[in-house]
Amino acid sequence: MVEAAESLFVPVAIRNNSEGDADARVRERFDEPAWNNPVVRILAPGDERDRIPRLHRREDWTRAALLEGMQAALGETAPAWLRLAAGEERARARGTEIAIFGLG
Amino acid sequence: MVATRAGWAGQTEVVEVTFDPKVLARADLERRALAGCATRTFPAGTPVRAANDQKYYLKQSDFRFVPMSPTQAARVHASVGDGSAEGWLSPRQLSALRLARAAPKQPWPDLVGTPLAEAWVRFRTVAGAAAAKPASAAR
Repeated sequence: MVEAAESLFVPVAIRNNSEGDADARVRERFDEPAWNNPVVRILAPGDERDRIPRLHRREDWTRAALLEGMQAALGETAPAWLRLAAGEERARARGTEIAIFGLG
Repeated sequence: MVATRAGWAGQTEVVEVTFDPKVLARADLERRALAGCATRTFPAGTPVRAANDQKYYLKQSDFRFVPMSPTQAARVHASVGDGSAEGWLSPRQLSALRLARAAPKQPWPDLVGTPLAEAWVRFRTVAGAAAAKPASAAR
């Protein structure tokens, strides 16, 4: 997940509790309220439009949701290793089953 | 398919498949498996004794030195013989593979089955020691 964030995107952390500084200006520019819970937004380069719906709910604060969000943001260009990681985390989050097959 | 594990159910060699039923229904998985190399299914909950040689083909290759998630390990294991295994790895994992291949005398740990975060720590410990050696040798 860290590699995906660092290598496929430009990760930017914005503090949500400052006033009058660069972080506050970014927060205001994107209509994010101060002192809010954590929010993740994945923006397109250039027009800065959201590539996926804003991740802000409790169920979004998971590895599965963030990986799925990164995969969705990249669409068809998402590399195989990211798709595998997203699928694995999604499966574990919603519950897996086990099947047993005889080979001989 | 999320993960696989080889084992024994009684005297029968089995493979235990962890899967996401929302992606592939059990009936579809069983149909596909029985059309392939599986000879029968066992009921869920059947006791399975883990085999000693998990991911045998993976463990015979340089890929055993690369930190991987369980899903990646299963895919790489299945494709290590046809030359497509590298396609499942990230750039950092490919770098790790190249590093291990370039320094075969280093004591790279076999990371098959090791949780991903722990595997990276173990890999980097050896890589760090390997990188430090020329400098200390030059003193």
